[in-house]
Amino acid sequence: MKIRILFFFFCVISLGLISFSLQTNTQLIEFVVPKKWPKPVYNFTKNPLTEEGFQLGRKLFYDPILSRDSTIACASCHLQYTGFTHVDHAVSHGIEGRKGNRNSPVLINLAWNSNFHWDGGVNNLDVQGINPIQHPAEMDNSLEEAIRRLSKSETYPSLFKKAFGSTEINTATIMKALTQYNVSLVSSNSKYDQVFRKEKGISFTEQEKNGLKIFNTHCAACHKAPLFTNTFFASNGLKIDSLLNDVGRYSITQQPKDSMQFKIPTLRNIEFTFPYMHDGRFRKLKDVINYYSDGINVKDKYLSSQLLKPMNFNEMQKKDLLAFLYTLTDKSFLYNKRFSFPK
Amino acid sequence: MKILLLIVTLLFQFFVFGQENRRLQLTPLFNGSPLELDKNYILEDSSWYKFSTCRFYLSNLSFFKDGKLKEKVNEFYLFDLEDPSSFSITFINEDFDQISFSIGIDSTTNVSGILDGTLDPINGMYWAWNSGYINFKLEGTSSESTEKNKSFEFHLGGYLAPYQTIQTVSLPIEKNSNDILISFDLYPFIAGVDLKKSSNVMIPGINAVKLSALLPSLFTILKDEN
Repeated sequence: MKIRILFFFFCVISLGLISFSLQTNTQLIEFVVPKKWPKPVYNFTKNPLTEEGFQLGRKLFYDPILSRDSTIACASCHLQYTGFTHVDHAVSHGIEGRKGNRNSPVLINLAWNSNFHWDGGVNNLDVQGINPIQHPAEMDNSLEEAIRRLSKSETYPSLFKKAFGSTEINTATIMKALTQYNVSLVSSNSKYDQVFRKEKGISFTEQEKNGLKIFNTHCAACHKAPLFTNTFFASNGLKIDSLLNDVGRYSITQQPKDSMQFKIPTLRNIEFTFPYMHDGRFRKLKDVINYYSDGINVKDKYLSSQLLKPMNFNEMQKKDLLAFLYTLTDKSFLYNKRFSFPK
Repeated sequence: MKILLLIVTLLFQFFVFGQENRRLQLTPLFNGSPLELDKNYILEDSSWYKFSTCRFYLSNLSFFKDGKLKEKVNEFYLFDLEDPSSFSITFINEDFDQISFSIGIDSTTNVSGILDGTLDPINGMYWAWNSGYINFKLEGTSSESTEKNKSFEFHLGGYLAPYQTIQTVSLPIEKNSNDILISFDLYPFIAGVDLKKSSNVMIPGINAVKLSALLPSLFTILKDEN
C-alpha cells in the first residue's frame, strides 16, 4: 500500500516539475524582418521575444536603479528622439559627471549586428548590457548590487516572474530582458525605405536623386543598404586624439592590422545622431562630409583602401549628398511610443 | 515497511544518480606545501609569494579506455581556492585508464551569449568589454613584483585566433580506486612567469597565450598510498 502512495507522490512531484518547465503564460511576439532585408544575426531561439520580456526590458532601460547612485539609466546616453544616442555630447558621461572616451553609439537595427561597441569587443547582444552597468565611467555598479536592488523592489520580482517564470532575478534574466527591448529597435520606415518600397506618392527630389548617386559611388561600399553599414571595421584616417589614445579594434584583437579601425556605423537617422565619429569630434554632418571630401590624409598608413581616392566634392555635390542622407530619417521610429518611457 | 521505504529510496537514487558516485579530488599546493590563501610562502632563494585569488574553469572532463573516449561530461566547473567544496568533482564511470580535461572555456561557449550557473558573469571570471571568459585568475603579492604595492595579477583568457588560451590536461589513471587524486601545484606557473618582467596580464593576446601554456604542467596525479 505504502509503495503505491510513494509512487503516487513520486508521480505528482515529477508532473509538477514537468509542468513548471513547460509553463508559458507569456505572449510571444514575432520579430518582423522588413521585406528584402537580410536574416537577423541575433539568435531568437535562445531568448524568444515576448510582450512581457520586452516591457520588462523597456522598464529596465529607462530605470536609473541599475546605476550605483541611481542617477543614470541606459536611456540617459541612448535617447530615442536622437536615434538612441547621446546627442550633443562628444563622449558620454556617466554617474557623477565622469566622462567616458567614446561617443555613445546609436541603438538601431541591432538584430543585424554580430558584435557591438566601436571596437566590436562585445560578441553577443545578450552580454552587451553588462558593460554600462559595470563601467566606472558609466553606471559604476556591480551585477550583485543591481540584482539585489531589483530583487527587493516592489515591482520587479513579479515582472521577472511574468517574463521568465521565476521571481528569482539573475544576470541572465536581466540581460535577456534588456536585449528583448534593444533588439526590437528596428528602423525601416525612412523616406528612403518608402521610395524603395514604391509607396504611393513618395519619390526622391532631384537633389536627393543626385545625392543617392554620389552616395552609391563613394559611400555605399561601407555604408551598405539596407542597414547602411556592412557591419565591418575600417579606418577612415582620423588622426588619433592624443588625450584619448584610442586605437580602436586593435585593443580587442591585439593584431596590428586592426589598428585605428572602428566599427562602421549605420547612417540611419544620421540627421539626429550628432555629434559624429567614435570620439564625437564632428558636431555637424556638414563637417563629416567636408572631412571625407577634402580632409582625408591619403598617406595615412591605416586608411581604408576605399578612401584612397580623394572625393573632392563641389558645394553642390555636398548639398546633394546631405539631402540624400536626410532621407534616412525615420520619424516613425524616433517617435514610436512603444519604445518611449513606459508610463 | 521501513525496509520497503529504504528499497524505494535506493531504487530512486539508482534511477537518478545511476551508478555509484566517484570523485575527482584536486589538492592545491605551492611547491609541495598545501596552498592556502594569504599565507606567506618563502622559497629557497628567499623570494616570497602570497596568493589572494586563485580560480579557474575546468571543463570537457573526459574519460578514456584504451585510447577511446568513453564519456564526456558537459559541465563547467569553477575551481576557487576560497571554496574547498569546489576542489572535488563527482562523476560516474566505472572503467577507464585515462582522463582529460580543459583549463578554460571553449570558443563556442565564449560566443553563446549570457549563461548562468558557474558561467554567470557575476562570478568575476568574465570580461564584458572584450566578451569572453577568464580561464584562469591568479592574484597576490610577491617580493619579485615590480609594482609599487608588490602586487601581481594574471587574468588569462582569450578564444579568438591566433590567441586561443584554452589548455588540455591529459592524465593516465593507473589504478581504478574510488577517488582520482590530482595535485594542483602553482609552483611551475610562478617559476615560468618572470614577475620582474611582467606582473600583470589582464587581456587576451600573446602574453596570455604564453602563460596559459604553463597551466597543464600544474596538474599531476597524486599517487594513492593505499
